[in-house]
Formats: sequence, structure tokens, C-alpha cells
Amino acid sequence: MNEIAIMLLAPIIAGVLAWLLDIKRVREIVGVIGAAVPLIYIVQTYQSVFNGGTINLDVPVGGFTLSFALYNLTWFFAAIAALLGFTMALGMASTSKDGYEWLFALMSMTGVLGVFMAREFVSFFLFWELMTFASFMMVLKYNRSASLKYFILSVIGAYAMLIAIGILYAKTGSFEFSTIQQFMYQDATKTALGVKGAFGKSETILLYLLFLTAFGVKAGAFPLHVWAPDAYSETNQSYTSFFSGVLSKAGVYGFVLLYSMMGIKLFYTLGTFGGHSLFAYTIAWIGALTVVIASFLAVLQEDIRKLFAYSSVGQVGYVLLGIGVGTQLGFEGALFHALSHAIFKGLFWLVVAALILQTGKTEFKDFGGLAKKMPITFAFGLIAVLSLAGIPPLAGFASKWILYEAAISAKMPLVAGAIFLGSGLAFAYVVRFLYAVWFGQMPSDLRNVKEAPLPLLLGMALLGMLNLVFGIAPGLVTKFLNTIFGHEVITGDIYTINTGVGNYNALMVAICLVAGIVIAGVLFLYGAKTRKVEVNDTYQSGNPVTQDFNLSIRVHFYKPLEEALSFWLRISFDKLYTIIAKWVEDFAEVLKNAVYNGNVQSYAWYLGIILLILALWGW
Amino acid sequence: MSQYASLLIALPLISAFFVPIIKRISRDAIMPYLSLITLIQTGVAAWAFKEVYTTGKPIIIMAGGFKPPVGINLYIGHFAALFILIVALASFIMAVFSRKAISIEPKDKYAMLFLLLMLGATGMIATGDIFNLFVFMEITSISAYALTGYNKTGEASEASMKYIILGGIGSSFFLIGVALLYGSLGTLNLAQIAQLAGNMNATVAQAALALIIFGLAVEAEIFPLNAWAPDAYQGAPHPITAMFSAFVVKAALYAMARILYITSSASSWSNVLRLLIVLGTLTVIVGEMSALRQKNVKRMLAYSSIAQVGLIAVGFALGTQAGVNASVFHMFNHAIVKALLFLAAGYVAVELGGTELEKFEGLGRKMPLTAFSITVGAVSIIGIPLFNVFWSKLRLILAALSANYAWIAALVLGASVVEAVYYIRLIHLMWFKGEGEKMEENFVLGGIMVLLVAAIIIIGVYPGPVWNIVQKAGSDLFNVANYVKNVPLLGVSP
Amino acid sequence: MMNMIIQAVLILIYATFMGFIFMGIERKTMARIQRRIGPPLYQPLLDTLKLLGKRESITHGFIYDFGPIFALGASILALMFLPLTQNFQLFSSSGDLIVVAYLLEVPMLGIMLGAMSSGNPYSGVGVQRGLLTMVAMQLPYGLALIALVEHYGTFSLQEIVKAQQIAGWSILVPALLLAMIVFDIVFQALLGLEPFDITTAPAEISMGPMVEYGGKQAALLFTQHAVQLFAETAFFVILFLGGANNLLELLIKQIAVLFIAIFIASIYPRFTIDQAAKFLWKWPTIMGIIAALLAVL
Repeated sequence: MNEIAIMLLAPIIAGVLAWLLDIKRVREIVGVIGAAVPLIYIVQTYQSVFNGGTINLDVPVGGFTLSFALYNLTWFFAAIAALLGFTMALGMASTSKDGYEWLFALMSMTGVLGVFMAREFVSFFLFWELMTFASFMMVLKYNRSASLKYFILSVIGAYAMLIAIGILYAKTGSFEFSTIQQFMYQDATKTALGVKGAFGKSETILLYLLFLTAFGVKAGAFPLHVWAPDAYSETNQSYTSFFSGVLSKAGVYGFVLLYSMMGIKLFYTLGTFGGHSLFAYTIAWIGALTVVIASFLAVLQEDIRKLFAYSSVGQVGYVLLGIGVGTQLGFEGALFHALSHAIFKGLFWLVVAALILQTGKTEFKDFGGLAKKMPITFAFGLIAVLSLAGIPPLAGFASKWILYEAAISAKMPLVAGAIFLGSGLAFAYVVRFLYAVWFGQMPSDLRNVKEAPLPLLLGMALLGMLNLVFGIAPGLVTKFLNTIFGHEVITGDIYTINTGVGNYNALMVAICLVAGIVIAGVLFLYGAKTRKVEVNDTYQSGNPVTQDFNLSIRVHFYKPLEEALSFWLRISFDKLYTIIAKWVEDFAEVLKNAVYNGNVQSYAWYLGIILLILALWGW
Repeated sequence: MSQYASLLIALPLISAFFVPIIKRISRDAIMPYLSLITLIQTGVAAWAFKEVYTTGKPIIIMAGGFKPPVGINLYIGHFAALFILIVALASFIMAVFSRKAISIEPKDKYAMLFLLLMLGATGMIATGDIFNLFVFMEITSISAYALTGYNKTGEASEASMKYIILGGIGSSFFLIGVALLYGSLGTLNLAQIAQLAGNMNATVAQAALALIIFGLAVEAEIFPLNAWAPDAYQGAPHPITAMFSAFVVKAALYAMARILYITSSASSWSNVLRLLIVLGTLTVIVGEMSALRQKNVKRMLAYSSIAQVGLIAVGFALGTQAGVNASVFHMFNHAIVKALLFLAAGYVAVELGGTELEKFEGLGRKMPLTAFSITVGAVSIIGIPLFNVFWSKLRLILAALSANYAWIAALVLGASVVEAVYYIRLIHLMWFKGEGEKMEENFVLGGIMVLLVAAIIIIGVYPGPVWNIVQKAGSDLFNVANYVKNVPLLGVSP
Repeated sequence: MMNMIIQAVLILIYATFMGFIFMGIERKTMARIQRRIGPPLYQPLLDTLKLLGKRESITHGFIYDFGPIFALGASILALMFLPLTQNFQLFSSSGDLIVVAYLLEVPMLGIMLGAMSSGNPYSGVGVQRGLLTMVAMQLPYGLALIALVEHYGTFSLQEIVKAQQIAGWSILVPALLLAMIVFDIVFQALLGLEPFDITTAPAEISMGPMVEYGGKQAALLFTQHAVQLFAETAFFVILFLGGANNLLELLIKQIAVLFIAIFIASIYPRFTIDQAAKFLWKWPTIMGIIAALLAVL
């Protein structure tokens, strides 16, 4: 049977089975197998896709033809989805309590795989809605208002996309990506030559804005990101690794599609601004703003889940930034960062899932000193921290490096400045995470915490290993990404990546780091022997210290920053949307009471008015 | 052989008048008798459906053997065959439900009115003559008026009164419109009207069309003529509400669409279309908005139903084949979903004593199958893929956009967002709030709900066959020349 | 290959030694400005050797020990990627400007890790301030570097040095002069000198992150500071003062940079964190933006 069909059907069938047979061990096994199947096929098809092969699938359904294709670009995204789906399933094997969650988690996996592999808009929209619905159901279980916010914003985006799809269909007569791309290209040349094309200027801008809304909501771009913190926090944390790692990439993929289909047309219609094409520059700035704002907000959070949620939003901002830069280098950086974000964020969320599972706490003030109790989780958490902070030689640094090079080479200095700021902020909040959770004093109710269960650890191990591998050998990823563009955008071998204006030899960095640590270690060992002391036995300027004295700063760790930013923090898009929603509801109530007021005389008047209108219509 | 299709009209009519005799025989036999009759009706309708769709030719029944336009003819084309089947099926399900849901006497009157309601709707769909349409419309309306007030509560009586007043006004104007039409063209036969429509005087055409559409719009629940609907839906007995939503309003919509397309060669046609689009969109918007803060689930479903009907009206009013196909598909899907929803909500009312929102708290624990059915119904109305309404909504939006009505599509989608909000609140309430013990759920009703759910999901995953059928039904409506060709007109000139 | 390794080791020893001398120069100059005699130039070296020779030291756990080791390793790593002179290019072909800029910040992570595991509230406060300082200075720091890269069109440090050999020092270009001023301001924060020494804030939170460290870990930290000092001043020289042809020229330029830093430090009092953030995000950022935009044009 066709690989694509198996990849799409396996997760959802496994999910339905797991939900129907709600038996403890069985549903976990079914779920994990269902999630593993796409991964197996992804690995299997790597070689053929790398060499330029394509796998197609066309399914006629209800008058439409749903078509899918697996080639290098879609394979890349599908690989991210399959990988993270598998680790999510492993995580959920430990943290998930009922079949409901398996059903919807796997349904969303099918949804996102379908989105990535779709080749025309009907299947794209169908799987997009499926994915949104399934992830929404995951959040609904935990918190109604968070899920409503998510669903409403997502649905607004999805409907915006539907209108855009309909407009495209009306003008081009087809849903296929390739057909629309061709049409747009011809239309663009017409615009370039000054001849009126099928799409006028306002129509093109409308399409652009509609798609921007649709994909921006999913990716969590500012100012449409408000659903993300609540939705990512209020759901099963193992699922969040998939949610924030992969579903946001669906939005990113949408942007890539926007570029590939309408890029040229938008370029000719919207023109340039300061040497960059306007539409791309807008996307880059949206990305930059997302990075800065989300990272600042992440620094100020008191709840672990919210911190990582904002962090996720910020990281996807990086990806958007890379896409917005518009050059091939930017795209490669963006795609690489999509991958590294997925693997380090996925790892982070699994760590958080382990923490919440074992301790039951979610706020920083309740944690402390867990490095001794959960050492393996700590080690993986540290790898994730280093990757997110962009420390060489891990995966996060490689992708950030390419983004820097891309942004600066494309002469977008301010955007690159935003990347710098974002990195600094990332550093700040991960250290906060490390400090509050793993170090310092342990609160008394955490004394019996044990290490995380095995499936979670397996998932973490897989992702952690990939972080290291892609960090030391970033060439593996760039070689694959080069095939998308057909030529060597980034040269070099497995360990070195060379962008033409800069060079980074990851292996050399890794070796030198190890060498440096060895030298330092030698120096250390040369010194005297050490004596271990209690955490409390510490310098206190002469004050006596007892066990229950609080020695760690766990609350409002970054209060000075909050004070420095107090002016800006008053502006909140979240509150704006809530206010708008309330207005709509109040308006609805007023409308209903005015129209359907129960008074039959007024109803009769309605009839009279309509009759009058009907009568007068002709004149 | 195909003349047996006239049973579709004859059977309910005769059976209705037989009810007092059955009552004489045994009081308890009334409800089973009702189920039996509706079952037979379903059987005949299924046979007619098979006939029409396998041979591709419509069944024409000439009353009294007189050829039209001298006699009245029944035209059971693709659309009529499909929907008569739906009417019969829905009636059967509701008849079964009535056994549990109706406990107020006099049940024999209920059974009679039930059969007449079914008859009226079937007749409206099957007829080929405009005055005959009026007759059946009146049968439907009057049965509906009476059934609305069946529960004998103050609320129901008031609702019934409102319905009578508004429906009466609508019917009167409809009649005036028909009179104008007759006066202008000299014929009452739909096929011949189609032939001759272009000859009408422009003013007369405008007035006649306006009045006819107006009259039908009251019954078809178009804003703002649908003000009677929320009260009527809430006050009526649960099976009756389901029937209202599933096919009574659809019959009126069909009639409106049929007359609209028949008179498409009249001069003021595009104006009427445009007005209908506006009204339809407003129906959707006002309907969804009104449902937002409802505290009573049945009323909420009523508003939602009104909104969906608005959507169907918009589809018809687009004036394109794609729009008509999409609307027919949506009529089909909506009938199934709303039948399920009202059935489930009514069952909850019967078991738990009311349809206020509080009664639905924790339903997931108390009556899981019912709650599941409501969830499936709600999720499918929102337009989630893997459920049937996704396809029809998609088609509708695409049709609207192809016809250059982008802003209509935007408004409708906006209203859909609102719809999502209140349905989600209901789902959340049912499953994630409240406590309860598991109750016994009626086996038969549970079985029906499961079947409907299965239908929703199967059509959602595999819409191909249904889409083919619907396309044929749509072209039946849209393709007026074909319609005229199929009717054996005598060629009597006005 | 062997050649490179020998070079690396030699430079390492030289850098460590010179780093200590720089620390000595720092103390001596400050003392002289304050009309004191001050300790001899090689005092920090003596301090470190004394610390290494201590008989016993305490530890709070594995990370506590690993933190300074990691920090020193990272500083050494940063040093290895700088093209110091014509003859001592080291590994700079394997990493470019961005890599070095990041690597100069990595030791901070190591120190923070160690500080956090020590469980001392002063170190906690120190960590917080250190990170916020870093956050605050990232924007002007980044903008200055970006201006530089935009102007030269390349990220490679070797290329930048070569370009300066041909066209003259960076600061001769107006955009890059602005960038240098911005970088110099940020440099104070990088070195941990007034007015941005809120991280350690001596006499306020008793050495901040390093308060708990003694014995050989302190020795490691001192060594790290020395290497870091050398690396950072060398970085400044490479970026803005045209690099160097031999070690002596490098030394002179580095000491010049160091003197400027010390003079600024001796005059100004300490900024608090929110003041530092607000300051750094106002004028230096604006200047950085202007510099970057000028460089692009």
C-alpha cells in the first residue's frame, strides 16, 4: 500500500483503537506503535527523497481529488512531525491517563502529517481543521477558556484561509498547488510588464493578509500569539511537546507555501522597501517582534509551563524571521531552526512533563534542588538548556548561526539585532529554569520525588541525542536542505558549514571545548582534595542559618526587569481580544433581545417592512 | 408501476383519518400504529428513490389521469425522491421517539396531526402545481400550528398563537401572489409557468414573485420573518421540533427554490435573488448571535437551526448550479444532524425533566451515549472534517466565492465562529463539569442515535456516493429546461 | 596539525600569564588613581598560586565543581578562535565572529551554574543581576557587531583583520567609530567593571556569584577571569584597532584598551540593574542602530 496512506492512517486508527479499548497497558502499546509507524516510513524513504525522488498519492473524495506528495521539502516537515509524534507517544505512555487523550493526540498527528504532505488546498484545509480540532480537544479537557481562546483564534485563521482558497479557486479554477503556482507566476509577469493580471492589487493584498492571518495564528506570531501561553500550559505536557514543536511548524509551512506560490506575484505587486521586498520584510519584522516580545514575557513568568510556552512562541518567531529574510540562506536557516526548535523544545516539554508528573507542582516557587533526585532528567534538561541558549556545539547554535549570517548578509541589521536580544533573553530564562528547579534548597514536600519513568526517559534520550548529533554535525541537516533548493546553498562537509561569508566547524569547536575542559580539569585535580558540605552551610555574613530558612530566590526572579519594562507591560493583546470577545457577546445579546423580543406585534411589523422592501425593490 | 408512488400522498392521508377508528379499538395501539404507517411510508419512499435514481427519470403521477396543465400532477424527480425519503425516515424516527416522549392526551389527535404534517411536507415537495403547493403548505402549517400548542402550556399556546398570526399573514400573501401569477399567465402548473415566465409583465412579475417568496419565507424561517420560530421550536413537543427542523422548513425552502428557479426568466429575478442573499446572510448572523447567550439548550438548537437554514437559503440564492448543489447537500446533512440533536435533547428532557443548561451538566457521566451523540452533532455542525457538514459547508463557501460574493462568505464564516463558541461551551459542560450516576438509556432510542451518528461519520469520511446523489438532485432544481421537458404538458395555451 | 596544537598551548600559557598581568595592571592603576601605592603587577598570579596551594576546599556537589571547570574551558575555547597575530592564527578558520561573540558569553553560563548550585542567596542575587546585565547589553553589543559585519561584508575574523591592514583601522569609518563607542560601553559590562559591575557588586553582595568559592575553585575562576580578559581585549583590538602583526603590537593595543576601561571604571559609580537596562537601551542602542544603518548604506 502506498507509504503516504499508511503514514496518514496509522496514527488515527491507532488512536481510535486506543480510545475504544480503554485498557491500561494495551492502549499505551497501541498508541506508541501507531506513532512509530510514520517514523519508520520516514526513515525508510530518506534515501530516495534525498536523491530527488517523489512519492504521490491521489484520493478522490466527494467530488474533490485529495492529493499528497512526499518529496524533500514535505519530507523534512513530515520527519519533524513523525519524530516528535513518536517521542510524544513515549511521553504520553507515562503521563496520560485515558484513551481520550490518545485519540486526539494521534488524530492531531494524522492532521499535521496530512497538512505537510498535501499538494492541494482541499486536503490542506481538511487536515488543517482536523489538526486544530484534535489539539483543541486536548486542551478542552483541562481548561475551557484557554481552549476556547485557542479554538476561536485558530478557526478565524482557518476561515480566513478558506476564503483565500475560495478566491484562488474562483480565479484559477483549481486547488492544486502547482497549478496555482504557475498561474501566479504568469500573473506576476503580467503585472511586471504593466498588463492587468487576473488578480488586482487589492485582491493580492487581501490574499496576502488572509494567509498571513491564517498561518500567523497557527505559528503564534505577534499579535496573534495570545492563545499559545494558555493552550500550551493547559494540556498534557507530553502532548505539548508535539503541540508546540510541530503544530506551530504547520504555520511555518504555510508561510513557505505562501512564498513558493505567491512570492513572485507579491513581490511585483507590493514592491520593495529599503531594498527588501515589502511582503517578506513584513514577515521578517513580525518574526523579530515575536522574538523580542515573547522572550521578554517569558523572562517574567512564574509558572514553568507559561515560561516555556512564551519561549516556544519566541523561537517560532526566529523561524518566521528567517523566512522573512527571503534569501535561500534565510530559508535554510529557518528550516534548520524549525528542526532544532522541535528537538530542543520537545525535549524541554518532556522534561517539564516529567517534573509535573513526579512532583505535581507547576510554579517555580514550589520547586528546588531536584538535581540530586532526578539526575537523568536534569542531564537532559541541561542539554535542552544549552541548545536553546544557543551554546555551541549544540543544535540550537548551528541554526541560530545560519540565521545570523542570513539576516546580516541580507542587510537587515535591525532584524539581526532582534535575534541577539532574543538570544540574551533566552539565556536569561533558561538559567531561571535551571536555578529554580534544579538547584538551591529543596522544599520539604519534594523529599520523596523519584526519577521519571522509563518511557519518558526514552523519549528524552532520543531527542537529547539528536540535539548533540545535529549540533556536532550540522552538515547532515544542511546537506539535506540543500536538495530543496537544488544547489549548494551551504557548503562544507558534515561537520563544517560554510555560508560563503562565514565558517563554522562544529567538530573543531566541540574538540576544543573538550580540550579546554580537560585542561581545566587537570588544573582542578592538581589542587587539594575537597570536602562536601550541605547546601545550607554557606556564607551568610555572620547570620546563623537553619534548615527552613529560605536561601533561594524563586519568586519574581527578574523583578528589576519587570520594573524596567513596566510601561510596556501595560499593553496586552490578550486583554484586547478578551475585550473584543466580550463586546461581541454583549452585542449579540442586545441584538437578540431587540429582534426576537417575544412581541408578536413587532413580528408582524417585520413582515410588513419586508413586504414593503420587496415591493419597492424594483423602483 | 410507478403510480404506486401516489401512495406517498394517499397513505398518510387515509391513515390520518383512520386514527379515530384505531382509538376505538385500543388506546394503546395509536403509537405503534403511527410507527407502522411511517415505516410503510419509508418503504414506499425508498422504493420510489430507487426507481428514480436507477432509471434517471422522474416519476410523474397525474391526478385523475388528466394531463397537466388541466390536471394536477405530482413530479417526483431526483430532489423530491431524495427528500421524500428523508421526510419519511425522519417521521419514522420521530414516531418511534413519540412513544417515549408524548405523554399528554389526546394522543389520537397527536397521531393524526403528525401524519398530516408528514403528508403536507411530502406533498409540498412532490407537487407540480403551484396551487396544490399552497394547499399542502396550508396542511403543513395548520398541523404545525396545532402541534406547536400540543403541550398545553402557556408558553406553547403563546408560541402557537404567534405562529398562527405570522403564518397566516404569510399564507395570505402567498395566495395573492399566486392569484397575480395566474392572472398573468393563466396556468397554475409549475412546468408551464417555467415555459411562459418570460412573457410576464415586468411589474406583475415583480409583485407576484415578491409576494410568493414572502409567503414562503415565513415558513422557511428567513430573517426577520422567522421570529415565530424560536418560540415555536421551544414550545412544541420534542419529536415535533425535530420534524420542524429536519423537514418542514426544508420543504418550504425547497418550494421557494423551485419557484425561484422556475421563474428565472422573469425580469426582476436578479433583484429578488440579491434580496434573498442579504436576508439569508442576516438570518445566519442574527441566528448565531442569538444562540450565544441562551440558557435553554432546545432554544439554542432552535437558533442554530435557523442559522443553518439561512445558510441554505444563501446557497439557493446564489443563482449558480454549484450553489444549488451545495445547498441541497447541506439540507441533507443538516436534516440528519438536527434530527439527531433534537432527538437527543428531547430524550434528555424526557429523562431529566427539562432542557435548561443545568440539566446538561455532567451528562457525559449520566447518559454517555446521549452526550456522545450530542457531541458528534455539535462537532459536525461546527464544520469539523470527518463529519458530514464539513463537506457541505465547504461547498457552500466555495460556491459563494465563485459567484463573487466574498463578503457573504466572510460574514457567514464569522457567524460560524460564534456557533463554535456556544457548542463548545455545551460540550465542555456535558463532559467536564458536574457529577452524576450512570442512568439506564433506552435501547431503541440509543440504537437510533448510534445509527445517526454512524451516518454522520460515514458521510463525513466517504461523501462520494451522497455527493453524486445530491448533484443529481441539485440539477433537478437548477436545470429548469429539463424539468419542463419531463412533464407531459398538454400544450394548452393561456 | 601538531604545529597548531603547539601554537595553541603556547598561546594559552602566554594568554594566562598576560591575563594575570592585566588584572595586576587593573589594580595598580586603580590604586594610583586613588592615590595609593597598590599591589605589585604580579599580585594576581601570586594570589592564584596561593589559592591552588590550599590544603582543603569545600564543595557543594558535582555541578559546583564543574561550573568553574566549564567556565575556564569555555574561555580557553573562545581564545582559540581568535586570530591573534599573523603567526598565531590558531583555529580561527573554524569559527567566525558570531561563534566568538557567543563563546565569550558561555563562561558566564558556567559561572552561573556553579553559583546556582552553591545555594547561597548572594549568589542567587548575583546570578539574577548577571543575567539581566547580559540581557541589557545584548542589544547594543549585537548592533555594534552587526554594523561591523555589514561594513566588511564578511563574518570571518581573519578577513576583517586583513581588510583593516589594507584600508586602515575600523575606527576610521564613521559608522564603525560609532560602533566602537557602543562596543566600548558594552565592554565595561563584559569585563565586569564599573559602571556595570552590578553582578559582583563588591561590598554589596560580597562577590555575587563567586561568594561561596574558595581554594582551587577560586583559583580556577581567577584563571578564567585572566584568560577572559585577554580574550576580550584581543577581540576588541581585532575588531576595531586593526589587529596586530606581532605579539608586542597586540600587547600595546590591548593595554591601551584596558586603560580606557579602567579610567572609565574609576570615575563612575555603580548602576543598579534597572538603571543599567534603561541606560543601555537608550543611547547606546540608538547609536548602535544608527551605526548599523549607516553601515548598510
